[in-house]
Order: sequence, then structure tokens, then C-alpha cells
Amino acid sequence: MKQTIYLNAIHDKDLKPLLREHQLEAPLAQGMLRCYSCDRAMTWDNIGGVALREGRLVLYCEDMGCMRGDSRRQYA
Amino acid sequence: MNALLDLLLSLGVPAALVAIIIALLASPRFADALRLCLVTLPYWLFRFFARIYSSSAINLKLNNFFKSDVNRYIPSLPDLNLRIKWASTTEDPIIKEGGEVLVRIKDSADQTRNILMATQQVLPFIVCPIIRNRMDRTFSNTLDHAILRRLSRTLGDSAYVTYQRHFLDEHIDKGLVDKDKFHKLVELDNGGLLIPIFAEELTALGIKLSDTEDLSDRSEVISDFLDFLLRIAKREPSSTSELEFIKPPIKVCVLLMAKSWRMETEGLAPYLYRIRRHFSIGAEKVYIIAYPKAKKFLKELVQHLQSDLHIRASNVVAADKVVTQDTGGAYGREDGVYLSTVIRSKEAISTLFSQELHDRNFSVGEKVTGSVIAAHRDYAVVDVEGMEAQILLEEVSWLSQESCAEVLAPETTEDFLIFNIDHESERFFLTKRFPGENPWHNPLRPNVGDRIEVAVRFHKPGHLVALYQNLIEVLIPESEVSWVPFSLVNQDQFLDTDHEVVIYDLDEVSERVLGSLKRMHEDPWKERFKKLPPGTKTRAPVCKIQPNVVVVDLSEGLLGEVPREHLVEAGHEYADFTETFVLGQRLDLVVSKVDRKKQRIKLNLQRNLAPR
Repeated sequence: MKQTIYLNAIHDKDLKPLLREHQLEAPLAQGMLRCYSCDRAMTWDNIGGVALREGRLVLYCEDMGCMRGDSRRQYA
Repeated sequence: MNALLDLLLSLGVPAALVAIIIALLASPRFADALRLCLVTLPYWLFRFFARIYSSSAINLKLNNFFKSDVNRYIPSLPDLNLRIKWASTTEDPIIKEGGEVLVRIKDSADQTRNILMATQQVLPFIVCPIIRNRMDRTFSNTLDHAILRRLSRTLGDSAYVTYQRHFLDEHIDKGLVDKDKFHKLVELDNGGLLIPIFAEELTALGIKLSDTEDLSDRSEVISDFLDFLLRIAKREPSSTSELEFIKPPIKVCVLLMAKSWRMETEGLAPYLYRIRRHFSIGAEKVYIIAYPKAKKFLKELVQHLQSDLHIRASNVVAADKVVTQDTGGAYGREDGVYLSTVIRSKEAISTLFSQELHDRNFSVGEKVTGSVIAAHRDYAVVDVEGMEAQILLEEVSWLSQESCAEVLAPETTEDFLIFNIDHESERFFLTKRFPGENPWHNPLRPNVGDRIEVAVRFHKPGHLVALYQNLIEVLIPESEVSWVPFSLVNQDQFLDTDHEVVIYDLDEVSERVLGSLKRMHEDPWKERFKKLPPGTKTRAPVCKIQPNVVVVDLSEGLLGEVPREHLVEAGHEYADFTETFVLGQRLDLVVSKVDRKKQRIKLNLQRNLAPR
């Protein structure tokens, strides 16, 4: 039996226009955006994923806990 | 079929080639490989086909890894096909309706980080997914890291460096991964047992527990199971051996096979006997691990087992070792161990067991006479009228024992009561706790408040076991031994000597007499605590270093704890305290909190409170 598992993903080529569309490009460059899960300061290099939360585009850092929906505080 | 062949022959070689290509394209792996070949050059030269390049590379590597390193060892897993589903705008249904996190795939010719990132996200849904919510999150993450490490090894040495730098080190620093358990899992993987046995067993355990409403945390038993397997993985392949891990809900045994005189002289018989014995003591699964020299013999054994209707034996699989430069070889794979799994076949359990019990008039509560075959620490095997029965350690006497062998000697005949009959596992259990001999009803039993002299016999987890008048057992809980924490007490000073205790409780439910050594004296802590109110500055030596706390000796039997967060706050050399601190090192501290009830004192570092 074959089971297909889908990984939802966004490519860098689509991520840049998406950030621009949500007017997040400049705040990101100025270091004003935070990881939605752990509150870490975000840069272009440490973006691990994005999601839509209450109509707003949010960023997640590359921590395995953050993108799996766990807050880093749970590990403290 | 013949007509199709005739048609192809009539159309010639080009048509046959087209047919072959269509057939191959139906295989997702081949299609990914073909796509990757076609787009690699345009991508490298002009950055064309970026998404196809990334998705083909990720799909191909991951699907190959899961097929060769995961699926073939975990029979319960379906054949997996991982696919990347791209989203590009917030209007895309994936992001708009699903609300899920979209994993970022970086635009890079080196796809290593993308492959690792994608694997990190999908692993919890693939490897033992059901048991995850019954496991500590850090443990679960650590297991994923052990598999990520294996993947990075198969991608090459530079991939391992990327993995270590961007994933492992960072996650250990943040406390997302348990360093100690990670090293254990890596050692297990190096021994070839991580996925074939550890992950396979956790997968089976998840399936088993999913039928129950029990959501209790199983991290402890899983951790014990890891230690058990690690001992096997580290063994020298010099002898044939057997091991048992019967700690519900994990009930497995391991049979080790090496090339030995026994194999050559006695054939299959001793191994078949051991497998039967493992099932008779409650194992649900027996893993047979054979070292390379015993491969042929294992195949013979499995062939024989597969003809037995009562059990199911899997085919022999080779658990490869990944050999890298740091393990003493060039990058590649070599034979590790060979494995087969033997399971009791529930469908084939016969009615013979019930019939045998009926023929002998065996029922629960019946008195029987049996001959002791073997006495181990936790159980003994008894022959009762030609049927094998077990007696567990807690049933060999009304008094606690350290081992069944203390009470039961092989080849002796004893009276027993039938205690329990388990038809599903075809086993029955005996007891030597005859109701008329229960010391709880002895008129000599002491009462609460009595001060009596007892002989301390031995220590078992949680208690010191003592005997009063050579008849009545008195248990002294570890917390009642001394006003000082039990971990600091020298237990030897109590063993095999007489002590006066005060009886503080009679547990009617479990029929236990509980005594206290410490209540014979006044609580000295009241005075000691007064000397260390919050804010007191002190200098104390480190006496224990744990991942989350450093314990210091505050003298007069008092211990203090400096939590990890205070050490991290103190700066670089303190943050790495598990590596840099040494026992006996003195720290300048301030008492921050005193909990008299728990007898705990929390401290902070003076440097954290100094003005900066």
C-alpha cells in the first residue's frame, strides 16, 4: 500500500513577493519582526516558515519546535 | 498480453522504448530522478525551474532514504511517497483554508538544508507517530534528530557538517534536544538497532495504545527500553545470549546469535526452546539479532519458524552500518547485524492450553504441587504436572525478597496455589502466599506509635525492608530513613543491622506496616533553615551537575540548587556549565528561595545580582 504525504512549502521566489504584498519586507530588514512562536528576532536568513493567522501573515523561525506549533517556553 | 506484444513488435524498437519510459514514469522515484536530471543544468546556469529543481531533489532524497533506511525495517509502515505541495500566495487554499505553516524552501544549488528542514517537519508524522503524544517532547525531538543525523550521513560528509552546524548544535543549545539521550540513540544507530528495533517497537506500541484511552506519559519505560537496547548494541559478538524486557506495555525479548560451538553442535533446538521460553514469560515479540557469521544459521532458524503455525517470523533483513571517517572507514555502508522478528500469532492460538488445564482440573485458587525448573531474579519457572507455570517475585513469599532464587531452589518440589490463568498468552501463574500464613493477621503485629527493634534486610527501590521478631515485615520508606535526603545517606550503615523504629502507619489496603527511623529524633531542619533566610550570601562547593540544575553543598546536611536559567543568565562560561563546571568548584551565591516543606533551597549567583 502506498501512502502519499504532502509537505506544504513555499519557495524563496514566492516568499519575497508575498512579504512585499503584506508590507513586511521593510520591517523584516529593520529587524522589527518576531517569530510567532518563540518571539525571536527575524531576519531573511532565519525564516523557517510562514502561515496565515487571523488574516495576518506571520513568520516562524527555523526552530523545530516553532514550526511544529510548539512554543519554546514549553521546553524550559 | 500476447496481442500487446505482437503490436509492440510490429511497431518496432522506438515504440518499445516509449512503452518502457511510460512504465518507468509511473514510478514517482524514477519520475523525480528524470526531472532532476533535466532541470539541473538550466537551474545551475540560469536559475530556471527553481521549484521543480528543489522539489525533485527533496522528494528523491527523502523517498530513497525512507525506503532504504526506514520502511524496510518497520513492516507496519506503508510504502511512503513524500511530495512537496507548493503555495505561492495567501489566496492559495493550502495557506488560506488549512492555516498550516508553509515550510520555506531556500533558493540554493545545495539542497542539503532544504532536505533536512523538510525531513524535520515530516518525521513526526512518519516514524512512530502515534506514541508521540505519550512521550516527552524533548525525547521525541531527540529521536527525530538521531534519524536526521542518519539521513545527513547518507547525504555525505559536507551534509553532516551542515546538519551539525545549523540543526543539532543550535537545538541542543536551546534545550530542544536532550544531549545525553541523543548520544545514546546515535550509539544505538551505530549498532544497527535504532530503526529496526527501537523505532519499530515504538511504532507498534503506539498502535497498541491507540486502542486504549490511556494517554499517560510513557517516556520513562521508553527510556529504559533505550538503555536495554544500548547494552545489547554495545555487546561483543563473542557469545550467544538472551535478554528480556518485560515492562508493560513493552514486552519484548532479544535473542543474540553469534558463531559459537553451540550452534554447530546442538543445531536449532536451543534457540527454538529459548523463543518458546520467552513467549512463556510474557514476551509478545522476540527480536533475533545475528552477527554476520551467524547469518546463515539465522536464515535456517527463520525458515523453520515460518513453518510454525503458532508464530509469525519476518524475513531476515540486514541492518547496515553507516561507516564514515570518524568511525574508522571511508564513507559507505557495511554489514552490521541481521535481524528477524518473531511474533506470537494470535490467529493460531490453539485450544490446547484450555484443554490441558481442564484435563488436570486446574483453576484459580487450586492448590498444586510443582517442581522448580529455574529460579531467576524476577520470576521462577515451575513444572506442574507437565505444564510450565511462572511465579513472580512478589508472589514467592509474604515477605519481600531480592530474588526468587532466595526462596525457590531448582529441582525442589513445593506446594503452590494457582494465582491467575491468562488464556490469551497461554500462561498460568502461581503463588506461595497462602492465606492462612498472612503475617498481617499475626497478633504480634505492632501498632501505630510503637517503638520496636527491627533487623534491616535490604534496600529495594523506595524502601528499606526490615523484619520484626523474624515474622512481620516493616517497610521504611526512603523519605523516612533520615532528615537528610536519601540520596545523601550511606545505605550500607543500615543494612544487616538492628535499628529502633517508630511505627507511623498501618496501610490496611496493601497490608503493610510502615516504620520511620527519622521520627525517632527531632527535626533538625528548623534550626538549620533559620541560618539561611533569603538574601543570605554564601560560598559553597558544587556537589552534583545535572542538565537543568547544579546542586551545591551548604553544609550541615543542607543542599542548595542553582537552576539552569540563573547559570545561563550569568554569561558564557557559566552557560555551558555541564561542560565547564567541576565537582568541588566553589560558587558565590545568594539564597533566593527557601521551601521548608520540600527541604529545598534555591540560590542565584551573586554576579547576576551585582550592578552592571
